[in-house]
Amino acid sequence: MTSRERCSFLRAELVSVASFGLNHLANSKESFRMGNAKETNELSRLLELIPHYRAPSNSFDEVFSQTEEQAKAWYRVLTGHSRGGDPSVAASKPLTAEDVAKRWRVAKEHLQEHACAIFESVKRRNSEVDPIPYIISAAQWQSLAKGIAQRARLLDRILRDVYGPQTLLEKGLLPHELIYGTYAYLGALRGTLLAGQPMLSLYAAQLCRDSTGTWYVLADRTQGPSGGGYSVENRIALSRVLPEEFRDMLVQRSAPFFAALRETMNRNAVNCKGDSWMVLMSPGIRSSTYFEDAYLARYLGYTLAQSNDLTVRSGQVFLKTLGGLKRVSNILRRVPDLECDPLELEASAIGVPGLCQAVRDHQIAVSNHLGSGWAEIPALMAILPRLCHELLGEDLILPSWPTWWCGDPGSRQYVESHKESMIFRNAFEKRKEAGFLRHRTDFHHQVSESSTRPPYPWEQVATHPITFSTTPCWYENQVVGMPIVMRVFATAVEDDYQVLSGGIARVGQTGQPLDESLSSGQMSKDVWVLGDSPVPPMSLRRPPQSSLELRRTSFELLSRVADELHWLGRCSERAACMVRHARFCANRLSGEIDLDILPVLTHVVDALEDKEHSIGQNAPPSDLLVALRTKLVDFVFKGGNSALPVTLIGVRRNANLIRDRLSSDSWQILSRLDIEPVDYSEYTLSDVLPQLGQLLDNLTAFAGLVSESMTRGPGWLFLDMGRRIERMQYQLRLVDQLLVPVYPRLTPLLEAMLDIMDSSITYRYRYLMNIEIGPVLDLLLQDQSNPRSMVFQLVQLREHLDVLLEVDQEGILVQRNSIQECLDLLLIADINDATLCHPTPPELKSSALGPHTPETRLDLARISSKIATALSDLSEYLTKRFFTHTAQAQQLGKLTK
Amino acid sequence: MRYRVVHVTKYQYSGEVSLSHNQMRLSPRILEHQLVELPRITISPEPTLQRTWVDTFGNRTHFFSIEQSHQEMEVRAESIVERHAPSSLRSRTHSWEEIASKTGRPRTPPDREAAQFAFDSRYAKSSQGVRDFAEPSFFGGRNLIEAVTDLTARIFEDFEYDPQATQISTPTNEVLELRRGVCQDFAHLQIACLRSMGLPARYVSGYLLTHAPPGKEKLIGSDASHAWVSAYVGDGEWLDFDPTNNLRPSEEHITIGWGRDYADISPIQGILIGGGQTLLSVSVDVRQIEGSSQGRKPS
Repeated sequence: MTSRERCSFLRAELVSVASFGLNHLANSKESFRMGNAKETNELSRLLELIPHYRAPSNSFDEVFSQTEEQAKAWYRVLTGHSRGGDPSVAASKPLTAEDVAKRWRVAKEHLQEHACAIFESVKRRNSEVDPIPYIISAAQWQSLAKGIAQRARLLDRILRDVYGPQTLLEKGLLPHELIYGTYAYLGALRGTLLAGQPMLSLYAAQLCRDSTGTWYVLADRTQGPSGGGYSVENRIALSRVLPEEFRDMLVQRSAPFFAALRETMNRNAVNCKGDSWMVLMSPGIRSSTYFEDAYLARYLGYTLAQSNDLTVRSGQVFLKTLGGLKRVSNILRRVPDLECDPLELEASAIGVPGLCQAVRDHQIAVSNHLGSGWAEIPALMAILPRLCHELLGEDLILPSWPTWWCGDPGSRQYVESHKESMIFRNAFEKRKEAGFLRHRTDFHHQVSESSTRPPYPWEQVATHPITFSTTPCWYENQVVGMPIVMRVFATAVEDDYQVLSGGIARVGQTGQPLDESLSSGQMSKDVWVLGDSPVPPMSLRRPPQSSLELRRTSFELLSRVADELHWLGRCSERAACMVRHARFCANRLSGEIDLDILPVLTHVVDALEDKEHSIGQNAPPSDLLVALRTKLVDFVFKGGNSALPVTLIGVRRNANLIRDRLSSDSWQILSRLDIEPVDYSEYTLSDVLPQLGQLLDNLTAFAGLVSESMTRGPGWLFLDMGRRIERMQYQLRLVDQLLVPVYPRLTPLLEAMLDIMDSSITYRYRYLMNIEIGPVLDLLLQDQSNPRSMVFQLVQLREHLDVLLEVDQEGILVQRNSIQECLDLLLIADINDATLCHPTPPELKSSALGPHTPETRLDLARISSKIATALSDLSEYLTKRFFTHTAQAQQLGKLTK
Repeated sequence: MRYRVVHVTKYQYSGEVSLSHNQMRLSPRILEHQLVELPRITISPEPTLQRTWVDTFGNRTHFFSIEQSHQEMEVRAESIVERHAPSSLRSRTHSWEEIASKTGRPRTPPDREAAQFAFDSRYAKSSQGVRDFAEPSFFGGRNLIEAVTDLTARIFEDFEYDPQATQISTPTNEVLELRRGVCQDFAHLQIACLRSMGLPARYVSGYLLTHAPPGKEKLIGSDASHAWVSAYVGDGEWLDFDPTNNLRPSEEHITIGWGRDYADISPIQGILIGGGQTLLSVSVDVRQIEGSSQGRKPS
């Protein structure tokens, strides 16, 4: 049978999962192990204290199946006391099961507080942390760590070979299907690794123990392993909740590992003259690991970047910041390699165009090297032992969970005769959907979806189901045994790999599948490697006595972030103006209504949306009222292009994109900005006011936080410029639509202006009830003490531009001058002139947006248009100078025949 | 035969392009039966960076970046190519099953090298439908060359040349249903057919000499890029087949290079920032410098 002959033997037969360990234990109570008199001293005492502890009889359990020594350790962790027979404890008061339960209840509460602080109130799926750590002895860990380091070394060697001389292929040790049969192998990157550099800077293995207690590797992670940041988070939280146990049990620290990772990154970084940066490249906010990435980046001291924060110029890689381009020397990659360069790797717009060429020219180091994701293919696990012999001349210390690659005739024969009890999966697909332990039909379905033919044998691997070991967990107010998988990490050091002492474990409820991903299961656990000697303290943070270099804000802010903050400022200000505007209309259209003012109110309602008049003013007053109310309700609840909901979505979207930059207070306020997505036709005018009141509360609260809690760095600068520009543009539009045309009734329009610009109180205080255009314009345009006035905004903008002078003197000066001209114009303008009415000139009349009234306030129109032009120039300048790097890339029109 | 080949590609953008990175495979390969002189590529505006490397299939690949703002880009590739008819096969011919089994479990370097072209690729995927179409040409024990020649003829006869029917992204299965397409589609289809039989097949990108109707002057730029198929016949040897014209490429086919499919050997691809709408125009001119030959229909 040649390898490409059709595979029929896998079709149609389905494997039942009834025999599958985890389901098993959910149903059969008899098969649980419980404490009995035969247990050893230490263990039986422990079991008395955790009376509900159960473990399935067919699994290996961390408590039942271990040595006396291990039981002691578990006793220490679970009860908080060092020894069951400790006379001092026994003398005072014997420990009870209730004491132990209370201990964990309290621990869990503390942990939740800590977790809240650490995870910044972002709720993640399955992000709960178990207060009970997973413990493992120093001796056991040492042999595991040896196996993990060897595996990392081996996979690195294999990768160097397949992306280099390919001798394994030549010798027939590596089946050619494993390279040519999968997109995971990136031919374009062959021969690009610099001598002496590792393919794998960071490696992770997903480990489990089977029913005999033997450790196996479920999956290798070589692409850009996640979980490192997560494990640091868990470690910090847990060491605070159980400080004494952490200290007394000599738990090994994780900091040395991250220090080693940093050293590796430094060692492999390309030589750049002068300042160069390291970045952690993350898939961005849409990725489930984004916060972990952000955390790890902060912990390592790297800039968190997305692919659109990076650019290739003159063959080198740069980070796009407000202060200009910063050379990058090494990228810690959390993005799959296929998504790293749209030019060479995948026909999509994501990635950094030109990155592959920069790698090829050795102008950038990417860690892990592009292409290393290939080593995650399940098929490779099947042949690791022989490759280990060939490349390292050693036996594989830490075996993979037995995997048969169906492309090998011998393996296929075995699989044929055991297929009833085996699980099949794609030989090249790394994870998730196919799931390690899902039903066979799932896999088959998946294959047939993406392909129009049945799978070939070499496209599949088969394994036996696993019964995972169980370990104590705090779940639903009891200590219970739950199945566990564990992720451990290794980083390249000179000639070898250093393993993180610890890791991150996932535990699942019985019956729930656990697999290779970090999102499966119920909770995560910290992994404690118990030391046999005191642990020297070490931290990546500087020691307290060494003086920290003082840092003030600089222009190293990413252009993308500045862009998003700017638009957050604009959207939130626009939303606030709209809400005030709508509130004014709602107040006038409810309660006792003066029908006479309805025609003039029409202009105010029309101005809600930036378009032409839509309501006929000559309609009978009752019809007009209905029309105005409907329009208002639509504006507040229905999503038109320029209506309120769309603007609020804009606020949410921009806030979302920079979530890690917002304080949790700001984020919480902004997340309340939703308008409930119910059928808007249900809404009436009476719903409008409460809704607007609530929105305004949140928007002003956000504005307050921005002004009182945000550091006055470039981020704030761009956000505030956004607010100022938007506020002025809104006001200018109102001036153009309500005051420039000369309508018969002016007072309601002036009231609207004052209300929307939040200046009514000041006006009333100064002028009582006499509302006239001169004083209104003075307050809204010229009064420097009014934070809503035009002059006030212009002065603020001018100050902001002064700060930016440092970055782009020439360009900023032009903008600053034009803002200054506007200021001068406003300050010297005689407001009485501005109120004068002139016959509307014909060119204004004929223009679409121009006033359609016989008379016009021409001077006012002139001032308004002058400022509007300056603002739109400024806006364009900001975009071009500071944000243009963030423009989306597009694929060059492909050649057609 | 000697040719002068000029391939001009011009992009015009509705907006400013501030940055573009591009990759090209436009230099004809030097082969046993193809000599290449003076390959020259000129790009405007002047690139900030240019690199040349040889890809995993042996094709000369150019990378260039343009970092100045521009609204027009022109790439002109020019070369003198001396093309001869391929020499006859050195080794004995094999049955198609022999080749399928040799490359299915490759033991020699050439077989292993060839084996990578037997796997599905983005644009040339095997499927049940494709296999059903291919099978009549591959009866038991049939000589491989005979079988592929037959398949080439069947594609030529069953499919209509129609530039409107398909796009680059049209999948093989759809081409099979439509029964129409252009040289690229036919090449991809034939490759998929061969792969579904377990046979290695390459996608060849190149040019074809065309001839003006009798009595008329040949227009400059009236030629076009062309694509055909190369099938592995064993012992490191490959034979070309042109399903669009139902013939075995000879002196009038100029090879640029090859890959698993179009994606590996597309003449120009790029990523740019800005640009708006793109207007593309391509002109290819293949001029015979000496000698003459029979006309063929263009791709």
